[in-house]
Amino acid sequence: MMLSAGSSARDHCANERTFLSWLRLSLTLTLVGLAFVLKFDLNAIDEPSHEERTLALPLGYTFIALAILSVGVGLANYLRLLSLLVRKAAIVQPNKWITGVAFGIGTVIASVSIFLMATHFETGT
Amino acid sequence: MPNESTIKKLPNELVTEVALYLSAADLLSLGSTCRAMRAFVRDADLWTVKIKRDFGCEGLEFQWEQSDDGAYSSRERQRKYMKLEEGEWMSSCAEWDCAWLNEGNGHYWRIEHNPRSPFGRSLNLGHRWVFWLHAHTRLRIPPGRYEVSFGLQVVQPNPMLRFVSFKIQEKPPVSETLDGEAQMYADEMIRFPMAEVQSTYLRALSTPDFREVTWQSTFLVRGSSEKGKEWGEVEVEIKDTSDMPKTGVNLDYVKFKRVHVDEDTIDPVAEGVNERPIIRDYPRRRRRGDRTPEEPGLKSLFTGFFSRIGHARCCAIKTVEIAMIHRDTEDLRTMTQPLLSTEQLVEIRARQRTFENAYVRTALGEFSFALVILRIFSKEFYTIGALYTFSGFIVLTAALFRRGRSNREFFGPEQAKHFRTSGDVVLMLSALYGCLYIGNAFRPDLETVECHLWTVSVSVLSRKALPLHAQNTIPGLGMHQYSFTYLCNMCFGLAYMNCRNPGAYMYMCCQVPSSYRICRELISIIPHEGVNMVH
Repeated sequence: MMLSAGSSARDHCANERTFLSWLRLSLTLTLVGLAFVLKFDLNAIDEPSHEERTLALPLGYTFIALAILSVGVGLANYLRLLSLLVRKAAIVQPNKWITGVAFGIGTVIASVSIFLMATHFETGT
Repeated sequence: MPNESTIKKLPNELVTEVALYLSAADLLSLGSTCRAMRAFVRDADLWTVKIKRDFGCEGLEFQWEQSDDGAYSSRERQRKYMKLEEGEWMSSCAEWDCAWLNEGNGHYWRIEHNPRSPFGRSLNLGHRWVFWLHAHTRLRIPPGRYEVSFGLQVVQPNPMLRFVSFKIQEKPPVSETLDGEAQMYADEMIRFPMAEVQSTYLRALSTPDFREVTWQSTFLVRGSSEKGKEWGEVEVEIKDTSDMPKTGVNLDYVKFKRVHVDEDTIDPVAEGVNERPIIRDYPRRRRRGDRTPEEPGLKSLFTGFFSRIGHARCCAIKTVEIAMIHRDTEDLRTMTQPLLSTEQLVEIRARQRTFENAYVRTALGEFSFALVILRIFSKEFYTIGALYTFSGFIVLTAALFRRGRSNREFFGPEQAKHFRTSGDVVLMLSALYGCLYIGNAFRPDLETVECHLWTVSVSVLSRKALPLHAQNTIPGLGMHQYSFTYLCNMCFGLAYMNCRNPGAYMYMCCQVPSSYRICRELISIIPHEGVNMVH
């Protein structure tokens, strides 16, 4: 419990929304990862090729690990910003590790999709 | 800022006067508070005046390092002051006048390379036998009370080593009018009291390492004038002409370290020499350009970097502490927020909600959607997934950029705080997204490309046109952004209509109420602004 002065209620709500956003990302990551692991194929509609099958399992586990990481990071970020807000610190922003993790997750997704694109164009032609 | 710092309101001369009373560390802390103070502390003149005031003219000529060329730069002056303030004067025995140095067949004192010495060289006897030992030096130091230590090494415990005397005395001031014999006579007459140390306990140094030995004697340097600003010249002499062999001793340096004691509390009887010397470990001294061999360069670079960061942090903490000291005790309870008032806090939080939260949420949402596309849609949509991820990157980068700019704005020194509207970033984002859409149209469908182009151009134009109204009124800003969004949406709708897409008509219908509202509000603003312009 704390005194609601200035914009503190809004700040805390915004912080919470960000946490929920991290949670959503992790849910999606888990979903995709589990789908990869369980069905052993990368795509739900098209017929999977051989190399896609071999790739699916590690990829799925990577995604699940990323999901756990993103929940952890979201939680850490939330708690950190919360304590900063309570202390009324001047600069309340995620530190460079959290931003780095966000960038890292983005990089993994981008590289996977680019890789899939490449295989798709190879098999398609 | 409503709480404009009061120190900036003071006249510059007054601040300088106050700063002359601060220590170097305090000044550096002051300099890390804000830009104006940093510029103030970085003034070479300030440090020059400070050196002159605290250490006299000789302080300016003092050279404490080989590389110190007396350059007139703020940094050099500052380092010089800190060195002077540290109050450590060392003299390497390798540079002393020494009898029987390197004479004959090497059975005498000699200067050897010594990596552990702060000077790199020490006066070395090795294991040879020397009976006549006489070395002496002079050094000039500011007036004050000093603790005298010697850097010594007993290479080989020598049972016969029992008497090496160190004599320290201050040379009296020599008037320039005296010459020759008269001067020598004056020397004899007004000799300051000397401290003499007998190294009876050198045998206590049984380890073969170098040790710093302090006989507990404080030595008062009076200086050579009444003002106390002229430095005194101190003579240090090591002499032993007894017929005992003095083998196994290496001499490294003599160190004068200023001690701060209250002159009244000193018991004149107790002053002098202790029976037992204090033996310390050798000081580990890191000098510029001088690396200990066991440390790789990169590591030392990193440690230097981190120690500098730690120093900056200490400065910040110290600044806050100073602020706390200078406040009343009443204020101390509310010191949890020493920097910002409530309004400022509200403002910066509003900024941070946008840059830290909203932007990040958008980016994360785009990542999620990219994943969904990756999994659920068919292979043709992989490109779109990649593009979504890429756009997430763009949003994150934009957040970082905006955050940095906003922080600079907020904590910067400008007198009037202007909020820089997000025009260019939004422009950039829309342009980039437009490029993405164009790239997205991987099928050479002319109509799709055309509609995307149209969207982008109209949104850019609308953005350009909007600052005409409500440029710098903060309430107008919200309007601003709303109208921008709605216009963009309208453009999308129109673009899809252009594609003869049936969904576009529905989209447009949804947009009509909001666009109606926005148009009405825009119309209500324009006459208002017009009136303002007339006045």
